[in-house]
Amino acid sequence: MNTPTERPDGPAPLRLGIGAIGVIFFRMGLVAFGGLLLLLVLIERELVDRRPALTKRQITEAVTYTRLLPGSGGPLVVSYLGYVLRGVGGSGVATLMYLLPGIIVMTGLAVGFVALSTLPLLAPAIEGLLAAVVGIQSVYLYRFARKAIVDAVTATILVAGLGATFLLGVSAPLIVLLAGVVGVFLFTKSLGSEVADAG
Amino acid sequence: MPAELLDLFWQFMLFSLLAFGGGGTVLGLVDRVAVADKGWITPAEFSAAVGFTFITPGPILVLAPFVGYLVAGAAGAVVATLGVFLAPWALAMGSAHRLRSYLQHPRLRAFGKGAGPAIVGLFSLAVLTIARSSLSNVALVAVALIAGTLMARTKLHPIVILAGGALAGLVLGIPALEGALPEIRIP
Repeated sequence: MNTPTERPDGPAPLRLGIGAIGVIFFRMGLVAFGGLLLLLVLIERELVDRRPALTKRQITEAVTYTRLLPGSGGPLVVSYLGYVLRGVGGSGVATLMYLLPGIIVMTGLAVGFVALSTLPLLAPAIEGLLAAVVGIQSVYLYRFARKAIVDAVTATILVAGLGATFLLGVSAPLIVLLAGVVGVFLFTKSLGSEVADAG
Repeated sequence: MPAELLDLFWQFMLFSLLAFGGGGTVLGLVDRVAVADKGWITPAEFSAAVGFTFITPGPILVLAPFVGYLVAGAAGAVVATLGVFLAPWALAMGSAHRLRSYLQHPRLRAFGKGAGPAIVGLFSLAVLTIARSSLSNVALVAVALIAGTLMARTKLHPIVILAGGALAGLVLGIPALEGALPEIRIP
């Protein structure tokens, strides 16, 4: 099971211990505010430049082979590269330690939110914060919609999904699943030719 | 494991498996299930969870422990976190191993392209839900509009915009102002 990707592009990699993998990815997790791009810069600095545990090609492969998977891009790349570094154990430790700072902060915020949200002084601040969330999320919605609704077919899927929610009361996960299956029937051929043309 | 914890685990695993294009794409789904269907959290708590992801390191799906904690305390936080990150972890390892050819099939990409529009619909409903519960007067609507404009037109980090919103909220909460603001209701 522990079979790293072949590495024809460089010398034998430095083999890191599980502890070292944990510390490196925990430090990356502490500053993981900039999305996948920043993460890739950090990975290259820590695991290619400072210690030759990976090659640039392996990092590129990680991004390529995880971009079609469901889930957040950063943890997917971390899980992939952790496996390359040290198999299942490396992947598990890398992923856990990368996510740990965020998990701790979020859990702390939940505890604080429950405790403090009823304080008279903080309630107006939270109202203002939530109003700002509406503005920010609207922008994200617009940007995502521009990429996802590209033609009459995808617009029809959108309308059908909304109709299924309001008129038929179909559960949300089922709507997404059904839309995905419809996508498999409608788009597989054209996407397969795109991949073939790109060579 | 109590039924509620199992349900939390399963729902968050489902969210992660439908998150084609990143964690942000399933926020509408999380809202629909956690707020509307299950009643686990209120719209305001969901809004707060989303807002806090901007000031937390890591991916957007790190809102899982926040929601899990509100539902079932520390156990809920653990279970929701495991649920949302376990499947992608396994799939990523599969990609690094022999399952790569199956996980690169055009059908997977086609699934994502079909699911995308449905997710946009759910996302729209989520934003509307947050707006309904958060924008109770014209001043808060103005805060939302200004925040959206700053997000779209400037390079300001969301953390700064959220801090500005919180500050605006504090100012608007001054008793002399609060009573003077006309209330609204979004349909």
